[in-house]
Amino acid sequence: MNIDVKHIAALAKLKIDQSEEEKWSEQMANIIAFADRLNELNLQEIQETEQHYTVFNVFRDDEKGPSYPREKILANAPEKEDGYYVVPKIVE
Amino acid sequence: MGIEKYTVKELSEKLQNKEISSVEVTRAFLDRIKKYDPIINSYITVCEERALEAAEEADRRIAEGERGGLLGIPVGIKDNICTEGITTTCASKMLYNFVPPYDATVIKKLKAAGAVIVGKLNMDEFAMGSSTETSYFKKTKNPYDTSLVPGGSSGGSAAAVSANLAAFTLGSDTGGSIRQPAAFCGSVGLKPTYGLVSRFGLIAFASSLDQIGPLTKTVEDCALVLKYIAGHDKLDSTSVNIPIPDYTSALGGDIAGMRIGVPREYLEDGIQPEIKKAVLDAVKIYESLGAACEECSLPLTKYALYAYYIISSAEASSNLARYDGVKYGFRAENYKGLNDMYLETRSQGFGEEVKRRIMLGTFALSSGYYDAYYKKAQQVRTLIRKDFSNSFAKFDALLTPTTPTTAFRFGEKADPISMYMGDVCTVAVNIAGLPAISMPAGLDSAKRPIGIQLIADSFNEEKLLSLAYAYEKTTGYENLRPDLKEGA
Amino acid sequence: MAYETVIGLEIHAELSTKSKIYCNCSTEFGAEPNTQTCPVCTGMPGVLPVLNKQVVDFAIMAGLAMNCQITRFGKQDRKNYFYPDLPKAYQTSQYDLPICQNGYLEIESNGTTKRIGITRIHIEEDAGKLVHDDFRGVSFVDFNRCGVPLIEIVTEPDLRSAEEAKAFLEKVKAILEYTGVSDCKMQEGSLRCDINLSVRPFGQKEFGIRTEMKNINSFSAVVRAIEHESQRQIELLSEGKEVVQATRRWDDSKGRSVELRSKEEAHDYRYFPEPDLVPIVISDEWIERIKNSLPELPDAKRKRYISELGLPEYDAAFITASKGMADYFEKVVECGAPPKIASNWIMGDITKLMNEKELESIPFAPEYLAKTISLIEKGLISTTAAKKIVAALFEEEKDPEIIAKEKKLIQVSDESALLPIVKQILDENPKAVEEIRAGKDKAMGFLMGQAMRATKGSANPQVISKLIKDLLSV
Repeated sequence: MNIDVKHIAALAKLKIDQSEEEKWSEQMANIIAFADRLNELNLQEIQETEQHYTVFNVFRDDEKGPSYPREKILANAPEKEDGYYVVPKIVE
Repeated sequence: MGIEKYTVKELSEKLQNKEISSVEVTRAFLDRIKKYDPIINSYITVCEERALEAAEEADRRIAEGERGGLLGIPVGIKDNICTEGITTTCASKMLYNFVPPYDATVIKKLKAAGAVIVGKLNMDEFAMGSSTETSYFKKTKNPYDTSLVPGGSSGGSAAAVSANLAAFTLGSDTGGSIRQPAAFCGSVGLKPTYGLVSRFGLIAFASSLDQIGPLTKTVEDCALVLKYIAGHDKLDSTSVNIPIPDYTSALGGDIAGMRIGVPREYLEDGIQPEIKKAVLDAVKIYESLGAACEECSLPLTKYALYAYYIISSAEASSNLARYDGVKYGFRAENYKGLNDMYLETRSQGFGEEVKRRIMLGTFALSSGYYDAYYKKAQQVRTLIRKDFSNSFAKFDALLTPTTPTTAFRFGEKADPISMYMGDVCTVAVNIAGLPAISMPAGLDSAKRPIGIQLIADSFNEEKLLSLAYAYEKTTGYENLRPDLKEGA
Repeated sequence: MAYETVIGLEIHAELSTKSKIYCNCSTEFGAEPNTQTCPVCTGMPGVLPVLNKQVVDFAIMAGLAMNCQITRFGKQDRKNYFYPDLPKAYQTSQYDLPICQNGYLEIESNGTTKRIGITRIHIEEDAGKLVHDDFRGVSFVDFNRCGVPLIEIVTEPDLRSAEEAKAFLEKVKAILEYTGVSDCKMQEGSLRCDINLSVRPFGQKEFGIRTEMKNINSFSAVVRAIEHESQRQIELLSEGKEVVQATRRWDDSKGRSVELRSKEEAHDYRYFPEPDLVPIVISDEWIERIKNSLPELPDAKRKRYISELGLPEYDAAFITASKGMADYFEKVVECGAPPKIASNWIMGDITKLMNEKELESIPFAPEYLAKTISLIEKGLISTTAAKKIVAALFEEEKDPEIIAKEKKLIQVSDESALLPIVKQILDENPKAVEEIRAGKDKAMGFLMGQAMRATKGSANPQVISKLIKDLLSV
């Protein structure tokens, strides 16, 4: 199968060099072919939502609690200023 | 070798009897780490100061009369479990400098029990791998033979226990990542039932498959640690609210009358003959102890592998999207604008295996392919669960190899698919959310540890532990230890 | 060729919970940046969500108030995309099993009642806020709003004009306010609206190509955006051109919309069920409990004002449009004011002053309005004086009687007190008396003016008028 590696990489925000595109394409195709073996099974009667749900309705009460101090939360930020995280703008 | 050779149980007794102090025990492990870890490379971070402080605190608690199975005991933590104030990297460049502002729930529990955190252990990057070769920082060596991998992704956890560089360790298991390295390094490794141990603070790989579990020298230690880390957590919606038994009290009981199934699909071609023999020898041992063993069938076994790679990659592709250089961790230095910053950060921050899984997962969820891949894999999951349920109607536990081969050489499994095939004995357990334990079953002719696996139905850890204990006491394999060379 | 405009709305309302949807950080508006966050709502490695039950309660309530079917088995799903205001790089929302489906609301359009279909209502989490600095080429990110719970209300493409859209929005706002589900403050962002619009020749069954407009921040902007876009599309089609399916950003200050540059890759959100959350199973009892807790809704209230309080249709609709106003009105009536008089004051002077001063609510107690009205009824003040008192109440909340005294607005209505004065005025002005007797009413005004002057304006003019007429037997 022909996988649009460029498109997938763009969705995943990964950079794939043009020189590597073919290698990725082939590798992914092999792994997908491996996974295509699932088609051997008859799945018509299984509903997807029959999943592993043994637990339902887990909730918390609507109670306000203390937030983390700003310095603690921002401590790991690669770039911060005046209490904000700083990111580059979208370049058109 | 001194006190580092003792089990958690033995150390705990000596601490309670005041034969030794936690500070002494901790120093002994720290010294041993300095001596041997430069070769083994199991630790990414060693927290000497914090550990000694915690040891002093434990000694104080013991002096005040407190008793507890983990009080004062040194533990190593896989580096994907968040520890407040201690760098937690997932063995990735992406989190090379991430210091969590909070503790994972299991860490809170360990601290409450008085365990002494000695350091953070090496792993495959973001837990994706079966050899710890994908770690950004270092390659952990198998203590039995340093030219061999320790397994993965909890390679550091398994190696550290095996080499007595911690009294016990915590790892995580998504497709076999506790059990396989435990098997490769001759340790005991348990993956609990999905939902038994809180995932809050475990840096997510595949949310519906991940579980934290103990790696220990003995089955008794394993039961002890499980008792402390299991339990409902209101911060984890998928954690189950059931009473936690004292797992240690299940040990040593009579296993006569228990029924053990041996699924033939797990002993097919591709399994190393000595490993197959170990399983069949275990059958004889169990029969001699009064258990009934019978061959059975799990016809969907091989499909579990395909379903696993789709489901785990899909969930991982979403779980790892948050690593974007905005809030924490690595950010690339040179970029033009936001999109470029994302691309550069993620392409430089992630290793190849991680990228491969993200690509695979993104594909499996993408428009036009979701039904054919992700949805289908989840449907197969239901069938695999049914497969197991049917077995557990007849059997108390299933006995299988943990891995198709013993530890392999570094670089030997360069092709991703050959690496993935090594998970064939372990992934179905995660797909079905079941508990499973790997126990040491001797060495092969090249002196590489063999591990065999017991699988039980959900929340039947007691059965697993009592069966594993019986095997261990009969064989004495837990006493095997590797010979270590000192490091530079 | 005559064209018909077809409109559907996507409305996001922030829920009035105290804490966020998946963690217990506060949802209060206006805090310093990044002071209402924690590892969970900032998407740190290792964190997990736990659903706030009140969010589901509110969604069910909104659904019941909008005549929806409530799902018995709901789940949450991940919507995956990258943007700096989205810390997990996915938004936890609902894809195929939303809490509510297949509802409707009725609006008044061109004198008839029209039913607007509601496709679905689902729960989801809000993202953070970005502040752009174009000069430096950076954006600043504040995650306080991350994790604030939202409901998204999606309508069928049943609306046909800007007025209908506005009426629908006002209805939704009223319902959400009445049920306490949301405070619907568009200027604070707690109510947002995206507009899907297409045009087609009258009589055509197929829908035209539609555009989606975002960044609409008030109800009047909704009207302007719809009118402009409808016009724009009609012009294109009239010229034989095609409408481009795109997302457009409405710029209210410029009065037009701009097509947002389409991204390099189309948005493929890769929805899949959220594995960190468990399904929501809603029982009959749960739905019944919420149903029983529903307050009187706008339509029912409007009908009750008409049938029980005798208000005309217009007044009832006006007052019930806002919960605050309806509550206020009811309290004024409880204090004894006649309903129509209370509604006149509220719809007239009070609303005018609120608009002038840009107030959201009436800044003085309903008891004071009731008292003001009763002062008129007792004849102690004139209507003009009452207007002054109401204006004063907007500046300072005080007992109206005290204001009346301070501003010397109390009028004398006591006939026995006024009689001698009137008599004197009549005696002093025989010419005017003659003119009145001759049928020239103008002199009446003159005499009244004299009487008012003599009483320094404190006389009740109606009483003066009556006394003059009595004394002159006219």
